[in-house]
Amino acid sequence: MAKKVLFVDDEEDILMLLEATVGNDDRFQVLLARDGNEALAIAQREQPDLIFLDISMPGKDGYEVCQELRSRYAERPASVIMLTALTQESARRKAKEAGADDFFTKPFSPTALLEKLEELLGS
Amino acid sequence: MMGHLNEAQYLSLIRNIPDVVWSVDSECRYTFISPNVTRVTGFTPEDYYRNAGQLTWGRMHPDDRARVGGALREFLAGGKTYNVEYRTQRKDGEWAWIRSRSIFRYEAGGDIHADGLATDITDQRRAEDELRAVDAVAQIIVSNLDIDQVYQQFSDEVKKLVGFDCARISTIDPGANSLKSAHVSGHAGSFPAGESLLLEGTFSQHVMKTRRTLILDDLAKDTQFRWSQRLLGDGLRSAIIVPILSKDIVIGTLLLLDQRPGAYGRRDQVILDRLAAQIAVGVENSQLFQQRARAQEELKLRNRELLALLDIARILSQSGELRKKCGDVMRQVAGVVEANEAYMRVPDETGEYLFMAHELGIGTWADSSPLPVHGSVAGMAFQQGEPVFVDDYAFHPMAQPTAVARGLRSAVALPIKAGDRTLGVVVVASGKVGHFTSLRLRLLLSIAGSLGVMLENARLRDEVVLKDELERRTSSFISMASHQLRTPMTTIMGFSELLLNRELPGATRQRYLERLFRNSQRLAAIVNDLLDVSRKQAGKLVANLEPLALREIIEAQLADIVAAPEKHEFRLDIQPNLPPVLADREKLSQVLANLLDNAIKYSPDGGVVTISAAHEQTRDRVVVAIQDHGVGIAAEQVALLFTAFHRIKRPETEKVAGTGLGLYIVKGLMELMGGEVWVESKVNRGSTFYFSVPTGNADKNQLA
Repeated sequence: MAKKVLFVDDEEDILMLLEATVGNDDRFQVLLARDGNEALAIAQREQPDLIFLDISMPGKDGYEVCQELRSRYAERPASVIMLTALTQESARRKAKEAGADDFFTKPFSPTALLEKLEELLGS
Repeated sequence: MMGHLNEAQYLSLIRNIPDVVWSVDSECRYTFISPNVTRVTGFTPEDYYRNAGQLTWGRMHPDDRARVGGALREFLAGGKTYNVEYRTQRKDGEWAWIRSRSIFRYEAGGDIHADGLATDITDQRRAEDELRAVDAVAQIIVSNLDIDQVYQQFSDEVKKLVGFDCARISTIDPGANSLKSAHVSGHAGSFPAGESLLLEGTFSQHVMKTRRTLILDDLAKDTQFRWSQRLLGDGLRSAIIVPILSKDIVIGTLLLLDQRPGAYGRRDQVILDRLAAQIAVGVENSQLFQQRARAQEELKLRNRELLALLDIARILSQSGELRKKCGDVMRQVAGVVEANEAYMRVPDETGEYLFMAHELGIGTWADSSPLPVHGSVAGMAFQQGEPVFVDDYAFHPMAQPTAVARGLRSAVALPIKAGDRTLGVVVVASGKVGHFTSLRLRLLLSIAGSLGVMLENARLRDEVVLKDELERRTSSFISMASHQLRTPMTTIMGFSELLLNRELPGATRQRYLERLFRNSQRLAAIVNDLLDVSRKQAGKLVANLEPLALREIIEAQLADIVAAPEKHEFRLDIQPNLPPVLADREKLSQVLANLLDNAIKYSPDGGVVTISAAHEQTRDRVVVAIQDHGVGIAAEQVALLFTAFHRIKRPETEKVAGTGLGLYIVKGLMELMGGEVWVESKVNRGSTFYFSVPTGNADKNQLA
């Protein structure tokens, strides 16, 4: 059964990159969202196993979305990985506090991303 | 023998009684009058025997005649007593009060006779009158703060007591060394209203020096004093001038003039001296009163000054752009002195021109174009570092024609100084000639003085705040910049890696390569913008100005755009015979590209973008407008539009790619080239971006 992965980012090109990285792999079903609200809606509907969440987004930022996800899906919590260009230590801490499981900085290597996916979702 | 006097003894007795013994017949002729009468009236008994009527009645005070005559006749006709008091003029002209009473009435030789005694009660009477007058004056002074009333009542008393045809009370102004007329009774005459105490030959100078009363019996015989002839011309013959003393200092004079010569004597002097002492209190009171009123005025003025300064300080200490604050301060200033306009001008870097330091409010038509330092009133004040006063613009050689046209008449230009430096000029103008009274000037000078210090502080503080702000912005600028860069970098690195590591079908590979290419372009654009911004902030941007044909540049830009398939329609509306503009070709193109780009980005598909250009003669510049019918910009966002990293926060525009630096850079570039950029916009209707470029004249300098 393919694991559902939700990618959330406001940049079109990044989403395309993420999809390109994971899309052709049968192990994973790719879901895309362009902002926080869309992400929450899809998360509710599809119950993804893993969510890659960009921090700097207009409207609801990544932290907010993460908190809401955590509070809503206590039963079957998805793993949340924060994706961001922010490099400060404070950003990491904040991500942890918001409930993220891990942290991925941009620019990232697609290969490393895939490895992470495999690691987290088993295979 | 005891108890008997012989005739000789009787006569001796009668001779020596101080009273005057008299005897009259029914015709009121004197049958006897004692020699003492000479002492009282100066006339001899023989005078009276010869001329009873004239001497008795003729010399009696007209107000008393009827009464006394009536009383005497009544007595002679059989009345009980005769006891009268009346005034009679002595031979020497002075007046005497007489009390005359009957002792005996009898019949002799077929006729009624009366015997009586007359006593000189002048001194008593005078004393009573004096006392009463002094009392009355004291009362007046105590009960009345209105000095004019006091003077009037005082004059009335003096007239009653001493008499005059003209009386004048004058007070001394020590500061001005002059005498001022405070009150005049009777016909004023041609005496000057005030005179300098330094003037020789005046009564007042004499009295000032001697501190004693001066009596002039006959002005016709006077050779010493200046105004005597004039007074004679007015019909006045004698004068008495009394010093009004307070603690031994002459604070004023009392001058009495009479049409008769020799009207004033020692007696009058004595009583007037006494009265003058009284009125001195009144004069002093009135002076104190005036001082107090002046002090209160001063206080009120000072209060107004302080409040005005407080207001201004408050405005300057608030946060906000210094330019706007200056505008608010100037409006305050205009209000405080009730002037039509007040504005501040500051010099440009060359020091040759004075520019408006602030926006002008709605409703003012002041000309905001720069004023030459050598050739304007404001310029004069700036150069000299001293205030310049314009009594009437209509006659001032340096007046700006626009000022006269606006109906301004009087003005004052004040330099704003901090230490020795003149920071700028405040000009305050009014539609009324002579509007700037010494009171208002004082206020303005006070304000200008403080303004210099306050402005300097505000500027320093603003600069510090600006520095902090700048530092904050710079560090966030850096983080923003790095953030911006990472996205294209991620894409570039990511797709490159995928392309390298995977076997991909041609179509996919093509797609990835396209993405790669676009993002490297984007990266390049961001890096350029960032470099521009960093150069701008370091002040290192340079513009190479040359005359350019604007039409050509616009058309070139459009050609670039239309090359890429876009769904917009572009319309050109360029004024024919547009003069060349003075600008940097590359930078101007950059500005156009950016604005056109925005117009497209924020415009719905298929919209029309209109580019127009026209020559604005009044400011000798060309204004270009780029109008779109896109999403528009809300009013509150307009102010932030040209700041760094600002992006409009609206759902429709979130997807629009951009660094948020474009307009910030556009503004910087336009200002560098001596132009301006601004926008007019309505949400959902569209925006029109304007920029202005100076026209290209050969003798304009290059900006560095």
